[in-house]
Amino acid sequence: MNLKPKPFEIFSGTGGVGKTTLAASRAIYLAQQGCSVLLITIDPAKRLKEVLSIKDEDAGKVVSISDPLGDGAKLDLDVELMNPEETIKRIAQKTDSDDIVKNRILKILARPYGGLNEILAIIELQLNMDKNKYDVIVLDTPPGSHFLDFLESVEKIRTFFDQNFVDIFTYLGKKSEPTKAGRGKRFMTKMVSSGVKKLLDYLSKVTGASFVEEFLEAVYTLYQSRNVFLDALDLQKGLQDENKSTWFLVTSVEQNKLKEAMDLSEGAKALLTDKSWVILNKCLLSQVEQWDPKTEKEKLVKNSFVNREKKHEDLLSSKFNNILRFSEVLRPEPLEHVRELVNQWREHKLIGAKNG
Amino acid sequence: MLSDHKRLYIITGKGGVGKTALSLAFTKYLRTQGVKANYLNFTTANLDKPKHDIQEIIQAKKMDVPLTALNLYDCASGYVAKKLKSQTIAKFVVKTPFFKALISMIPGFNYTIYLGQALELLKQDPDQVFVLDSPSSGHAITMLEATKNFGEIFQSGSLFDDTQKMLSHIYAPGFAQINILTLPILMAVNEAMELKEQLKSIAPIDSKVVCNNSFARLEGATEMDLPNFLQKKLDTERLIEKEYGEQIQSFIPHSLRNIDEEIVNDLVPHMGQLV
Repeated sequence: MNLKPKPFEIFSGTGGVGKTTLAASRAIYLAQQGCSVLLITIDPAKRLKEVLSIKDEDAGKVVSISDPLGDGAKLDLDVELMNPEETIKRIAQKTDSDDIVKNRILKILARPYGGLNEILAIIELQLNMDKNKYDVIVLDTPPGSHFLDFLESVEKIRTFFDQNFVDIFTYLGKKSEPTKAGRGKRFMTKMVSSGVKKLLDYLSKVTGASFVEEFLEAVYTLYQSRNVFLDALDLQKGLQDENKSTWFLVTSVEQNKLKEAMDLSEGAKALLTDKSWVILNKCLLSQVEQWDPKTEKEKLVKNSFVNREKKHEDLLSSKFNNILRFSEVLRPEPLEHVRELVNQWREHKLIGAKNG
Repeated sequence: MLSDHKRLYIITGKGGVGKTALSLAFTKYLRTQGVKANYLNFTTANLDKPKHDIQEIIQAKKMDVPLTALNLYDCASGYVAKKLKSQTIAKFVVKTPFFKALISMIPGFNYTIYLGQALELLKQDPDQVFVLDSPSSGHAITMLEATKNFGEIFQSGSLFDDTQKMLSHIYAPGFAQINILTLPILMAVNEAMELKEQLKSIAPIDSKVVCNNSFARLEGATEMDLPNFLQKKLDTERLIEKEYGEQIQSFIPHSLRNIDEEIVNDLVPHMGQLV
């Protein structure tokens, strides 16, 4: 089955164990098919990093890896290990102002666990797309996050720059003083009428003297870079447009996954097109069915595996048109694991860009 | 009655390792040992989602597991009210679009608010114990880092003091324990080890690595005449035990059940290892 060329392939899901490796193997497979590919990954395990030859010190940089599987290939494949701090630096370059890099509060929030990961991942995607260099960008969404959280992060950007703020900032933009202190004060004055004053009063009472100033600076700085953030709002439309994006929602036959699969299908119906794919990972059925158990206990084990997978299978087929099954890979070494998954992609014959 | 237990158990690990089932089972186990344990969940972080709607909470209720469900608005306004000594102003402050925008933009802030409230509840009731099913995004690190980060952001003043109090409270010897949950897959175990190291560098809290869903620990599994793929599974598990056996504090057997409640009940007898 062929897919039309699309600029984004997004891997999302609650799987955690499996999603990143599937995204990596997909990127390698597409590159093998002659596409120019960028893989953006967020938090791979050390051993997967080894396979992709990414070092921690390269975080935030785009690294070319022409032969990830060590078979002498010359692939057009770039990998980027996302780093929020680097993304913020890029925003600074784009807006020609390094305020966003210098602000102490934003610096702390941009730490790897500072909590801005999802929003910055969307921006990173946008910035890389602007390069016009790749046929496909494969994105592995932040760990543990549901695609809903991921799409909602765009909504969060919108809330942050909502009308209340826009009014304040428009006012400030017209009247702001060249000195930073003046700007802060003016900002405070305007805040009085917007109902924020009480909160800020409160904050100035219970925090360090410079906090409120720095905080207002942080908010103001974000606002100055708003175009970068607001561009990301347009990207959301692209992500939900079936001509621009392919979504892979990853789930696995592991126990306790049924409820998540249900959530997935409801969310997908509301937000994605019915062209999105569900990946049922770690399938064992074809192998289990060949087993002829002898003892009662063995029969119990077999039935448990069969029933577990069938339940997932039934539920997903009733909700989704496109299901991709990936067999459980029992090879312990990450390189072999990735190679095996690349083979499974080849068997699926799901081609993205170019050779489609 | 179990006497040597912690007040706060943080169950963490990547998505899909079985945190919720295990947290529910662990809470149930502690109850059977006479400990006043409650299941605690921070997925309520999404403001607009009413709390009865959340999957984990439905599950806890269905299984009669004692539950503490926190609401972000209540936690935040309760805290602000105490500081400002006014309920009215506090309610007003947390309802401003500004505050709403702030917490949705900076999710770490939510964790700090929740954690603060959980610690407050533990202080009010010396018998209370919480089993925290921590969010998978960014692990328990996000939660602990957030508290540290906000301390740094505020620099001084009473908000700063409060974050410092929270940290010294959590880091007090014997108070909290992090159980890192993983699966018997080499890459997953590697990740758990990395997480343990990272946690060690930021937070002086005892941690245990718990390997869930171990097929080798299923009663009678090793005597069975297994097909190739299950044999491979066992081999991988043996490899893991050989390489990491000393660093993994417990292995929880694979459950043959397919219904959530039954899986949880299956897990309960093995939960003593998590204390």
